[in-house]
Amino acid sequence: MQTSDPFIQIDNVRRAFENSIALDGVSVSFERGAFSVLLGPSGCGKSTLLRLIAGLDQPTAGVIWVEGKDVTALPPSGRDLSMVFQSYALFPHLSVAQNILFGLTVRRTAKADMSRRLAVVAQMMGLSAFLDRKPAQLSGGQQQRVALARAVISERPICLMDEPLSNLDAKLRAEMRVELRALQQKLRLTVIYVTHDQVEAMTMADKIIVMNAGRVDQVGTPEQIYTRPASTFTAGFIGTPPMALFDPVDLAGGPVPQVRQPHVIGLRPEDIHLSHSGPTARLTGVEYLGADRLISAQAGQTAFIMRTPASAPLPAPKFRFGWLAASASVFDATTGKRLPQYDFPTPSLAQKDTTHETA
Amino acid sequence: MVKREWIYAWALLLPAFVFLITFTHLPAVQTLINSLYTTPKGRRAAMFTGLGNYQQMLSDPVFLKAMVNSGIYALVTILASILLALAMALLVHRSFRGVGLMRMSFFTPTVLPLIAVANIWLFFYAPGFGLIDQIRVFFGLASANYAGQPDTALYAVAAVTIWKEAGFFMIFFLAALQTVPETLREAAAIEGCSRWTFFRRVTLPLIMPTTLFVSVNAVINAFRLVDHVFVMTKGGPDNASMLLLYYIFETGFRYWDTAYAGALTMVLIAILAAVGIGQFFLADKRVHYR
Ligand SMILES: Nc1ncnc2c1ncn2[C@@H]1O[C@H](COP(=O)(O)OP(=O)(O)OP(=O)(O)O)[C@@H](O)[C@H]1O
Ligand SMILES: [Mg+2]
Repeated sequence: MQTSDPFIQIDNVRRAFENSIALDGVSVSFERGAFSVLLGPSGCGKSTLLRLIAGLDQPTAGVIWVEGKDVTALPPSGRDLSMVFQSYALFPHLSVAQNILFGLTVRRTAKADMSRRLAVVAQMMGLSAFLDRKPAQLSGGQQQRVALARAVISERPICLMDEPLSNLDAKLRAEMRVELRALQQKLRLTVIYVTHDQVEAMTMADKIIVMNAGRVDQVGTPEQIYTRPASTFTAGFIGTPPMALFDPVDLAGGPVPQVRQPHVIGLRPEDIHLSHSGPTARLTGVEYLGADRLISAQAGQTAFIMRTPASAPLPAPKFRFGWLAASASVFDATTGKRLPQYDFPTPSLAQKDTTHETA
Repeated sequence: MVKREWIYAWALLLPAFVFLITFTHLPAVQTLINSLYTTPKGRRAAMFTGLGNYQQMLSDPVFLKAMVNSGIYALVTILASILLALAMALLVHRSFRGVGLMRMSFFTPTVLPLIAVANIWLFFYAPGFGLIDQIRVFFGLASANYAGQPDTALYAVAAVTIWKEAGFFMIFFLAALQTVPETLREAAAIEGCSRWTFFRRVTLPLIMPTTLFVSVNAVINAFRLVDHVFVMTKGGPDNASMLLLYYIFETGFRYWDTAYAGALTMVLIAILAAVGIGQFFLADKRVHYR
């Protein structure tokens, strides 16, 4: 079972390059046996943070702890972790078996032990039939499995993954998501997973760390991140389409919260519905998605998207819309931070453990 | 339709063919034919001798000496220049301050004409005031004439070739090293792989195609690069630095024994062809091509 002691702790880590600051004072912790996802747009410093944890790069400032031990200065080999690279980093001249066993070979593991572990891992990954092939003779998904097998066979407790699924097609990616998650649970791995794909983050994570421009924007379960984004950045990043951010003036007539400071109000597309009363909007476009329809509209200065069932009638060119007061998020207009004092208490969320969800 | 394309193809190839045939293939065939005849002298016309010229070689001490020398010269220059090139490439593969300058200085010998290089080295070797002798004298050793002593002349000549070639080969190794993805190094580092193990188990196999290419070039150069022999030793002293190609030149253009020179040329071509083909077939199995 998971315990909630911080297994890996990042303490105020900063990484500056010659002409950019990739990480700017990042503090975050990762629990043992949890699947943690670093999520953020391209260039926000996810890979940099992962490489610092791996020891492939050194922080400009800050400390990295693993099990209460300062590992900041340790080389990668001293940190007892494995890593799956986005490009898989398979050795092109070695066979699948040699690739998987590479680490064990350089660490001079006993022959019998190696072949036993290889058999187990190859079986688990469905690679038994390909052990003699070269990586170039495998499909993308199979190569991905080899990279994963190489990490798994090391039997190290921590596994770092940098966008391991981004080179696969959509269907395979969906399959691998399930497999990865199952594998992590079965082996009780502590996984730190980098992605900019929110679907991957939502479906696999115990905990999501949303990053933006070298800083941690929010840490929470997928549900918390989705329903209670901590800032306008996360609100606009999570969700397809993301949360619409309204100038309160454009919502006049609806159940707007009484806020005395300059603020914006965020509404999820599925929380907006057609209504008899409330603010008016002008229809600007319709997108048919099968089960749903995405209605693009303009209310005053704010363009927004609302999700309606495909079976529902199309709104008129000018229509009124409403929402449940509890579903609105309120953000400070200047800092973009959430103003939690205007949150409605939601029983399903309030008592939830903040770090993990599934077990 | 098809016919027209063929005409186009031939028309495009024709200029190249004309030059290749006139200046490469015809002379080669002519040389082969000449090598089967005696050299015409004065009123005595060339006579067919079959393998007579080739038999003469077996009892020609200079030819035998040249063969042995060429063998040693090839072995030394090939091995040393490849190892040196690889070492230099590994050194300047990383990035550090002044790496550009270092790469350039390693490459400089390549762009100098071999004759000029030979003159520089003549100064290094010059007994009494030469660079090497000055160092020797500084350490209290006796003066030496590397290019002029029978036991060192061949190696003195070989050193120049190595110095000239290594920088050139380094460029190829450098390019090859740069195609080895950095993530492979990182993946290996996480597994606790030492730099030497990584080099042996990953880098070396991955740059094998380049090594093959470079070694073929080194072999060809070992028989081809003799310009500096003209400047430095003229094959001497006492044929100590006599190389096959230089001997061909002497026979053909100093003694005008063109038939014998032709036969010697055939031997050279045979050696190069055998080595080249052998290398490709032998190495093909051990080379990893992506
Ligand atoms: N070696 C480097 N030298 C200079 N700048 C770098 C280096 N590596 C990363 N950076 C910069 O640091 C920032 C963060 O890079 P990082 O690779 O961590 O982004 P990322 O979140 O992984 O993005 P992506 O999703 O595109 O992989 C970027 O602005 C990048 O330009
Ligand atoms: Mg990245």
